[in-house]
Order: sequence, then structure tokens, then C-alpha cells
Amino acid sequence: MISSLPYLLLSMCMLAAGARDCMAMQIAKAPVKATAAGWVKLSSGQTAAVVRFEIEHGWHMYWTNPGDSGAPPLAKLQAASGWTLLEPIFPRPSILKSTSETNFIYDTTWEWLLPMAGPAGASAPACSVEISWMVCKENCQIGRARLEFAAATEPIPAAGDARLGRSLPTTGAAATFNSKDQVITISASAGNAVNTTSQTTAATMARFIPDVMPGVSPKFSGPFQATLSDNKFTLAIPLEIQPENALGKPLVFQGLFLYGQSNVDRCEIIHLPMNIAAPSP
Amino acid sequence: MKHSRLTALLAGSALLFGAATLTMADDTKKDKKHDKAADSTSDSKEKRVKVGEQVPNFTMTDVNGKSLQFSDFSGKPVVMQWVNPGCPVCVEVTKAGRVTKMIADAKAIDPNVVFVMVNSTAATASDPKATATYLADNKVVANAEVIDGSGVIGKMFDAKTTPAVFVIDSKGMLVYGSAFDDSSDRGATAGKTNYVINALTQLKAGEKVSPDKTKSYGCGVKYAKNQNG
Repeated sequence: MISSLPYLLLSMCMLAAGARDCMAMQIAKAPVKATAAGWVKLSSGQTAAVVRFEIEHGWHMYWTNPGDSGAPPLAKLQAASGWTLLEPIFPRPSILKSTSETNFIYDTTWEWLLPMAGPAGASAPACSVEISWMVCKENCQIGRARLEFAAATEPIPAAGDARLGRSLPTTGAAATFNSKDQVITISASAGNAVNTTSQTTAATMARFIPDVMPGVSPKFSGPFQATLSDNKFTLAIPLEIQPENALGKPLVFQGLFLYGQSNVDRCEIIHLPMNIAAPSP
Repeated sequence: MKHSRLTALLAGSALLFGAATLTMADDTKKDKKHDKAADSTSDSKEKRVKVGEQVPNFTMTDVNGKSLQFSDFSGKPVVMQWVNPGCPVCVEVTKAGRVTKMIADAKAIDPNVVFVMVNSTAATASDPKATATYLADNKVVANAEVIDGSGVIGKMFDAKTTPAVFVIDSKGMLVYGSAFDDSSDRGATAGKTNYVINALTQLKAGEKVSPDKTKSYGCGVKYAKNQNG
């Protein structure tokens, strides 16, 4: 009986919906498969649930700042008393540039980390996480899944993905904002570029991609190319500072400094409060 | 037994699939026919209007092939919303009644406000009837439903997504672009602030529109490829 069910459904579909819709239903394959891939320990000491996305060739999902269009995935924690979901962590994305838009995307398998905070000393709990995502090719689809995570068992492995990035080291790094010209200049030691896949590429290739920054708008979508001089990368980004568009949030300059060209090369997280008061919305 | 059932099913499916493919081929021909009629032109092709700037006059073509001028709405505030019946975000926002609510709320603030729905996404702009049906099915009553298959109007406003919105004041100045609202989940649920209503309220009170620029969410407007970005 169970083995006949698909045939029965297909026949019913053909009668009710017509051949074209029915074939579309049969042929269509979800372009993204999301799975619960266990837990990892972050360098901050927090525990994070790992969501693995496998993407059908030709489709793409979006980084936390999708670029000119799109939207990042969303997560909602269910049934985990005393635990809360913190800001998700996105690995280094790829850059998709066309004549009309720039997007920051994932087009192969990638892992999204969902850090959680809970009672002191407690290990990560069994929980459900409802996620949704936008995936696009010529058109876009919204996907949804409810993922079940088993309680973490010690020892929890450390997050080891080089694409996750780390905060820009304070040694050898500096950031200045010229309020007259509205240009932010960031310099970092080129020595930070070690461990990239290609030293030659890394020596000439460092770029910045902006995160979502209400009230702080780069003059264009990016990426912004850094220049190399005296063994230092320097990045100068013209900004429009508009406290009235900050939606009541503090003005912050943030994004990723990308070394090398490959999306498995290192990246560093830049997060600089602009110290300009934003008015109430 | 199972094999013969499978073979029969596959043979039947192949026939039906053939029929479906033929139907789709016919639709494509139909779409190509629409292409020529369904287009808009602008008086200033390369001009990109920014918030705070005057919007120049331009020509629009509606879903019925009728030509309109932006200057036809002179002296009234105009809201331009980018739509695409093939975008799930746009569909979600529209089906939930948030566009009709926005129009009703806006008319309550200023009965003269004009709403222009624009489809610049090449793939769906090629079928004006589909855009008209999509809006009618969702009870969206706008002053104009415009097809911008060449993307000239979309690029003039730098419309990146559907459902992006732009507000032009009664003097013809662009005062707001471009998120529909501050939804935290890309339109799945309504945001607390609809930015069109916010802008019209501030205009009515004689205040400066704030925020005047927000990052829009939604599907990218996939412009026709024969135009440079």
C-alpha cells in the first residue's frame, strides 16, 4: 500500500492539476538541503549549533549583508528552556558581481553557526531550530526547515573553519576616520596575509566587504580593493554618514577584510564604533 | 507487475510531459509578442535620481499598453513600488494584505497620494497580463500599473529589489527610498514601521523625511541583459 502511494498521488495530481503543474511538482527538486550538523565550541567559549547547507549547482544563498538584493537565512530557537540564540556567525562569502548589482553569497556547501547562551555550566541542550532561507538563481525561492539538535556531548569540537574570520588584530592595525572628507582609512600588516592559499595572490589581493551598517553607507556596494605599501595594506573607503538613517542604532563601521581570492582564504572582522550620536528614530 | 506499472506510468508521463512542453513553448511565443508592446522609455536614459533631487519627467507604459507621463501626477505625492509576481518576498508582502493596507493608510493621510506599481524584472515584465492579474488578485488598486521591461525607470530610481518603494513629494522631489518596512524577517511578518506611511506622515506635518534612505530587502530586480547597469 505504501509503495503504491506515490503512483496514487501522481495520478490524482494529473487529474486535478493538469499535466504541466503536475510534472513541475514531480521534477522540481529543492535547491537547498539543510541539516543539523552538531555542535562546536567557539574561541569565545560559547557553544554553537552548526547548520549545514548543501546548495544545488547554479543557486546561491546570502551572507549577513546580502549586497544589493537578497536576504540572509533566519533562525528561531524552539523548546530550549533557559537558552537563547545569539547573533548567528556567517563564514566568508564569495562575491557575485554583475553589471547591475553586487551580492555576497554562498554557492557551495557551507556551515552557519548559531551560538547559544544558557545557564552557567550547562551543556548545550536538545533543541529544535526553525530556519528559513532565501535561495536564488534566475528567480528566488524561500525554503524552510525545522532542525532537531541532540544535546551536546563532551568534548565539543572547536570550530575550525578558516572562513569564520577573527577580529582584526590590534597589533599593526589602525583605523582612522576623516570626518571632513568622510573617508575611513584602515591599515593592517600584510603579515596577516600568511596562510592564504597563494602567497603571491595574497600579497596583492586584500579587499573589504561591508556588513549592514544603518546610517553608515559606503559610496558604492564594494568590494573595496586595498593597496599594499611598506608591508601594510591600506584601505580607504568613502562613506556617507547619515545619523538620521541609523534607525536609532549606534553608528558602526563593520565588515570583513578578505585576504586572497579564494573563499577558503583568511578573513578578519572589522567592527569600529563611529562615536557619532544617532538621533532617536 | 511493478515493472509493467512503472513502464505504463513513464510512457503516460512522457506523453503528458510532451504536451506540457508544447504548451510552454506556446507561452514563450506569447511572451515574446508582449515584449515589444510592454516597454517604457525615459526622457533621460542615463539619469539616476537620488534622494533630495528633483525627479525628471519620464514616460511610462501601463499593463494595457497605454502611455503615461510622470508629469500627469504633477502636484501630488507619488509612491512608486517595485513588484514582481515571481518574487516570493513580494508575493508574501502582497498576499498578507500589507500593500493594500499601506495604500488605504496613505490615502487616509493624503487622499491625493498616487500609487504607481512598477515591474522592471525582465522575466515577468514580458507578460503584462500576469502583473495585472497578480495585483488584481491581491486587491491592490493603484493609480498606474507600469511595465518597465527595458529597466529604464528601475535604473533611474536605482530600484534593487522587490518590494522596494520610493516616495516623491508633491513638488516632484525624491524624499524616500527604498525598504517597504522594517520587517526583521524579510517581509514574512510586518515591520513596526511602514516607511511610506512614515514619509507621508512627515510630509503632511511639514517635516523632513527621516529616515530617507534604508536598505531594501527582497528579490533582486533582474533587469534585461541588453542594458548596461
